[in-house]
Amino acid sequence: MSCERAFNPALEQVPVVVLSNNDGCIISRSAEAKALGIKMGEPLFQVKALLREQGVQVFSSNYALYGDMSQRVMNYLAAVAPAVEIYSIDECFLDLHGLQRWQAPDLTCYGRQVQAALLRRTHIPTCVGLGPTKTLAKAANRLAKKLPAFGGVLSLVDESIRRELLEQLPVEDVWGIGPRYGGKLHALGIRTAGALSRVSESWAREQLGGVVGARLVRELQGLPCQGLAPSEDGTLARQRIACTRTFGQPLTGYPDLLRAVAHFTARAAEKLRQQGSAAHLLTVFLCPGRFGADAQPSRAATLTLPAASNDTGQLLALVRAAVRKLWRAGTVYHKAGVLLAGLEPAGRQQLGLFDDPALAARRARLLREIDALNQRFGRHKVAFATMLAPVGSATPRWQTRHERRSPAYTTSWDELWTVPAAG
Amino acid sequence: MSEVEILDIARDPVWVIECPAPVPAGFPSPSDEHRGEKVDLNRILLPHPDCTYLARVAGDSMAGPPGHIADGALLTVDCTLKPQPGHVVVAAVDGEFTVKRLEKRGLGWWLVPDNPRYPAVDAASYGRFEVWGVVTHVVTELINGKLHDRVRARRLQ
Repeated sequence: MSCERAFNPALEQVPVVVLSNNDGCIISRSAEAKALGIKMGEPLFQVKALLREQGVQVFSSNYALYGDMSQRVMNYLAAVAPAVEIYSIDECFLDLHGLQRWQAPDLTCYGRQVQAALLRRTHIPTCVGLGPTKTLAKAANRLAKKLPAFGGVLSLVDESIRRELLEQLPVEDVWGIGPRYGGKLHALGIRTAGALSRVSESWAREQLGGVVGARLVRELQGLPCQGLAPSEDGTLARQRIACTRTFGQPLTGYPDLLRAVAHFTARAAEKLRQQGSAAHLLTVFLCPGRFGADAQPSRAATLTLPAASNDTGQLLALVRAAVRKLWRAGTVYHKAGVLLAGLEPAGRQQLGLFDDPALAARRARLLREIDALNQRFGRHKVAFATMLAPVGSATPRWQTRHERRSPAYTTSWDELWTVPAAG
Repeated sequence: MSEVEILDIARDPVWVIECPAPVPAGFPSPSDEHRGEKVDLNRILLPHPDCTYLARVAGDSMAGPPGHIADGALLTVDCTLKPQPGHVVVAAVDGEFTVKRLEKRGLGWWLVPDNPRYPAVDAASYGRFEVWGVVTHVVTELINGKLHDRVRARRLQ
């Protein structure tokens, strides 16, 4: 939502929402849209009338733009903080240890400087939460968003402030407490984060799923249980790479499904090569519909690779096996995805006994060439046969709908940002 | 003509020989030793890539001296620079972007077009006024090359 506003000043002070992939649900709302009672995750068809009535501006997800803006934000943060963990496209943790002594004795003030710099550099407003643990930093961020008096920067480092403010945070807003535990805690009389921080460790262990719950409570008390997980080499490389889509139209046939999953695999492998990694674990999942007559649980398969790989061809062979195992005749699939995990730097893999090093080098070169061609002529211009539809068949039906997408202002020559110089 | 220059580095002097005169064939070019890095235009033009944006101009209100920013020109816009009088800026005024020269007249800021056919406007006359970024360069191609195709193509639609 903020990215849309950055390049369209007409959206200031009007309600704006952004839709999920495929224009399904609402995934981002401006404060004005929140005030209209539009909920996060609400399906578009349920609120369509309200949106039209209130003149809400509706946008499809524009991931080219959001990704580029996110990278600009993260690059800046990586330059001003000792360590960064990118948690999602619009959230990250900064490790500020050691900063306090020399550079930023007042961390709240540092937070304000970072917030102001990001606004100037990217025109994206941000909220900063500071705390001695990740859970408290998340809670501080949540409160900073909720309580406008703090101007979007709030520190829960000080214990007396923490005691007071945690009482204002509903327990279901604590990081790691889902709606299910939220309901349970309310039933047990624990309604705020403050109340949750006062329970005993053994109680938390019993009621909140064992050691995870105990850790959560300790973190709320200000005792760090989980460190930052920045990438080891200090770059902003990801730990896991996923490519997941909801289909434009539900799919049933095996060839259609395989083709879609093959595209996701090719894209994920390309990302893998871009950051110079190779993966050990490959997960493929297929999701039938969640509602109505199609409803069925989704199925996933995880395969361990013999040696870490970023070779699209090699991954596709495994993906084909996985899809064949997962696919059921007559099931209607709405979504699928590929997840690559267990990443390590590429080129350090131990070769198998029967692998030929010369062949490996040739494959690496082939993939480099393919990436270069696709970079130059457009995504998937050179593709593996598994990804292609038979000659003469209609356009792939799995491709997502985005009827209201704004231009990719910063990443495409054809859609470049235009500034009027009229009167 | 040759020139010998002594550079004072650490303890031992280093001799750098510059040889602008043609070197006889067969003699290894001494300048090979002193080749610098290649000149990278991006590094000079875009020192802050994370807060620089490219934009295409639509309209001719800046097509005049001294900017000569033609309709369809490509701009680089830097958001970290503090706007100064005389800078060409991209401003958000009343829900729209515009590109104009920023001037200080008396105590107020004015948005002044370089094209004399358009009037200057007092920034105070807008309900909302904010400088989005400072234009640092105008990229103009003088032959019909790739940039020309890309920047102009969409203008025709």
